[in-house]
Amino acid sequence: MTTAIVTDSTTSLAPGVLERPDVRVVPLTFHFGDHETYKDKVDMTNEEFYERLRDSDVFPTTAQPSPGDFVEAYEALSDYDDILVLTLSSKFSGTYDSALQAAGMVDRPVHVLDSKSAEMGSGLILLEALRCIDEGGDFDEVRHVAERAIGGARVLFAVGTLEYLAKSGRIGRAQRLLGTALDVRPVLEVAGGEIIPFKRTRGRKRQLATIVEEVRPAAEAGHPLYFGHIAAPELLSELAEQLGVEEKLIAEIGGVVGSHVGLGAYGVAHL
Amino acid sequence: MSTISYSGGVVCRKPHERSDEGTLAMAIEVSYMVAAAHAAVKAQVAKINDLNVYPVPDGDTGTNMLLTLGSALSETSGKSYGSPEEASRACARAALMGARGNSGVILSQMIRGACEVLADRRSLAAEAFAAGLDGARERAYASVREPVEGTMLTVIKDAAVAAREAFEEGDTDLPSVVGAARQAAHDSVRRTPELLAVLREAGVVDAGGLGVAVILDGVYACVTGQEIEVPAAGEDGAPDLETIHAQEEAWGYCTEFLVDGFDGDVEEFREHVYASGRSVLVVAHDDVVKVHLHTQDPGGALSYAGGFGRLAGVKVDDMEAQVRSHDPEGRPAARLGVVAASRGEGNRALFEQMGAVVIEGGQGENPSAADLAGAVEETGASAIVLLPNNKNIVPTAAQVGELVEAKTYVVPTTNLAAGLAVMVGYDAEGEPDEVVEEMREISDSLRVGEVTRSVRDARVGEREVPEGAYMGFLDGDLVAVEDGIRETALVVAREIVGDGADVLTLLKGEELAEAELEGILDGIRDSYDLLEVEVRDGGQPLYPLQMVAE
Repeated sequence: MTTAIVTDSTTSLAPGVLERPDVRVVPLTFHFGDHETYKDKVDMTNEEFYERLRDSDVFPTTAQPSPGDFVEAYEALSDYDDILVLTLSSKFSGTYDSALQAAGMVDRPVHVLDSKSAEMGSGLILLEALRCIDEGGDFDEVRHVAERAIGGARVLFAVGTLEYLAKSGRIGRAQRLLGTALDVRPVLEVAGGEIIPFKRTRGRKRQLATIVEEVRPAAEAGHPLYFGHIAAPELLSELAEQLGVEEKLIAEIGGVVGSHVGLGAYGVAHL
Repeated sequence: MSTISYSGGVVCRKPHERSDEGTLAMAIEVSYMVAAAHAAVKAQVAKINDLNVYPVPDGDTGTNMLLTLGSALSETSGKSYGSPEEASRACARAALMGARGNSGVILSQMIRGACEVLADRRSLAAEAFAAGLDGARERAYASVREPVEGTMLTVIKDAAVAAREAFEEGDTDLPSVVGAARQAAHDSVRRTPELLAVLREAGVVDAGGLGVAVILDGVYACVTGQEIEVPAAGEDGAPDLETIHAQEEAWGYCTEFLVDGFDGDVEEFREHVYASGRSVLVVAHDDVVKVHLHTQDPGGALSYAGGFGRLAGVKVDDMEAQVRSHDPEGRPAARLGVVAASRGEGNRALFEQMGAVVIEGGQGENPSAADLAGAVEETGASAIVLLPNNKNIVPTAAQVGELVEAKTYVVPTTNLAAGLAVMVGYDAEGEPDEVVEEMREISDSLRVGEVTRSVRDARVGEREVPEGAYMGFLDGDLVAVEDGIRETALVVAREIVGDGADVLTLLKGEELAEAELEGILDGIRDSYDLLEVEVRDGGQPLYPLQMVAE
């Protein structure tokens, strides 16, 4: 019995994952205005994207893959007995629905899981599932490992501004962080598939210290961590240093998630 | 060949001279209708985007529908197909492949449903159109896990019903039936706020629903060749983000699974599952049956289904637990209120914006405990934080607890800038004890400074202070006496920032001139590269400058 995994482009991919024959990535798209459509992490380098985001006066919008895009991915994996699909949180996007619809359009069972996370969070979940495959786990074991990782994964992240999240409509319960008369640098959390406010902080140092304090127990216990940033490598290095982590996974966050959190965001996922 | 164009509303020339009244030859009109629909949506895309608040208020519903139609258009445009089946299949597939966004995916299913019906018709007559809309309705409803009314689903349903009724009442003419559907769609769009609270609260109609109505406008123009005005969709103010909440039904366990190798009577199975839960969706595709339902007994549903085939993709979520842990609704509004003593119009506005009730009072004008108690009652909350924002008001604030029934907490802020910094930790819906602890933590971490002017010759500690001199205080201690305000302010700023602060907030008082403020800011920025400096126009009297470092 062999298992293949389909995920979407908002999952951060550790080195080597993209090259695996048993992994397929279905891209979401982002748009600047009505006429420019780009495939996430395919059509534009991250540097180009960050530059566009900095210079553009329109906020980019994003779109889920079509069910057809998933059908193509499922069909390309016909050599495998089972397919597990891991999508970004269904609270952020209809990607999960597209994957489910596509599952009904192919004549073999396809199991779709809502990662309830994105980028570094779903990246860690994917790594857990792949590790299980590499250790010879059968489909049920792989699925079980992925589901357990979904239950445990958590992302803490800092944004420079809440403006992008507010515009994107995906601000969730962090809505209540808006409307302060002073500039706030909030720390947010992705948990249970949505963005929830973790703490309002003022200033970069306090923001960083808040994440360090919260993630330190997981770091000290040796749990897997996955760092990610959007044009904020220095802050990320400082975060890793304060957590005492040396060998680390670092993701550059792509256009789709980047469109919603904005430049200067950074954070870390842990299991 | 004729062309299709639009301007403002939609203008279409007759696709071709129709020999048979009310009937279009099938192999080509699919592409005409797609083109007309695309043109109509294109003309309205900005308006549709602006309405978008459901399910995710990201303002791209119109764009997504347009891109989905665009994919179908590029497939069908200028092509000739051998048969209606071929044309329909190509169109449905292209829409499906190009579907963007939630609204685009549902639209693609509508196109698929219509195309499936039209595939075995020789021509598009009134009956075929009505049947096609019904196919669109059916596929659209089947495509979503939990159909929500007041959305594009309702609009396609109302349009399909109207088309069917018009045909059955004797309208055998294609334009009349399309016209009836289009009219019903627009009427339905206007009713969407009655059905969906999130629209009502935002004061908008449903964006996807309007998209469906606009598509029917395009089709109408296509079959009549007339210029039409697209009716206004009623109120369509900008969405108010603060009023948007997801409106999911939260009951029981959300249960999903596939039955693979289904062996049995699908109808009987469907009936049973429908009777055992809510929000039920059963989709059969060859020998795979997909099931979604909300039920109090997921185990019962699963073991029943297990009798029909192999179960796969089982997913069970406790909806009520999700609500219990995530949804702040149901709690009384403003569990925790704030009363802030403040002076200056700017400061009042800042505190009010952050949710405090403001009582006028501060240096030289201290409110009484009774004044504070009155403000506490005005909040209507059962727990209240008092921010004195002045050293002299702290003792008064401590008395208020004895005068009111509500539970009061004092966070002893000693100037207005500190009060505002503490407000960052305020959360009206949070657990009062936890929120107050957070606010106290912020208060304890602050360094507080101000600049004021001596009204007479005085001696403070070891220092002589002549009348008219500027005095700088840090955490209540005199740290500077200078003739100029800039020098005084810079001494205080240097002391307050020390080598640890990250953010410095300055409140400009009514006596501080813009030019002086600029000079002070330049001085601060020259000394500290990484410091974030925020300035607000507080307008407080007596203190040209108050500041707080974090």
